Amino acid sequence: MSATIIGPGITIEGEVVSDDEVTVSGTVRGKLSARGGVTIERGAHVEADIQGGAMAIAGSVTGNVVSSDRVDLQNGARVIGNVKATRITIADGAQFKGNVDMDT
Amino acid sequence: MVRAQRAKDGATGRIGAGTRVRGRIAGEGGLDVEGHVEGDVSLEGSLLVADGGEISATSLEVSDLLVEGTVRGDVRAQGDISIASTGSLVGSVKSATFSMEEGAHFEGDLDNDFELPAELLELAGAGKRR
Repeated sequence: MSATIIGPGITIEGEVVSDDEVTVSGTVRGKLSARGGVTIERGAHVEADIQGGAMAIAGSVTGNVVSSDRVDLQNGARVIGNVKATRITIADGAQFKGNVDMDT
Repeated sequence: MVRAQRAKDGATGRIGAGTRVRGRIAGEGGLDVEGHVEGDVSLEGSLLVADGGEISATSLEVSDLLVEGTVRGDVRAQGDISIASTGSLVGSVKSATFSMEEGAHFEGDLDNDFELPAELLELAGAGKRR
């Protein structure tokens, strides 16, 4: 199986469900759910609740983020929504507005 | 044609084999579909539906399309539509060029703008008059 990549010029309005890893460089509006890791690249726009494994976020996310593993908000990330994960890092230069839930 | 483009430029996006998209996909750049898509696709770029990949849509608008998997829906392409031997396409098709390999499956209307040779044009004209 190969990972899913939503390229920089591509917009998906709807639901993306994956058994694998998902990388977003473009736009997703709706719902994003992956069994594997999720990467939101710098420049990406996600207006969706995200569910998945380990997450690296460097783009813009409006929605609630739920990870079975860790969430890394990297430099350039802009997240508005609640984050639930066992481990969370927020890098210098990341913007975040919302609640953190690390209750396992 | 799409395969040659991929070899040269690669794809900017891919819906992997374990991935299902329900909704609308729009934008620019090449897209490979190895998983499942339920919804319309509007793409300024080439669309490759790989073997095992599946799209069910009302309408697909792309620059070029190569079907190695399954496509259901009406397709408009500015350039070429090709169905490979493993491919299946059910729906109306409008494009500049169209081709299918032996073993390919196609059900639907084909609407292509191509010029008939002069002798066939005369025949077509004669047919109309009758």
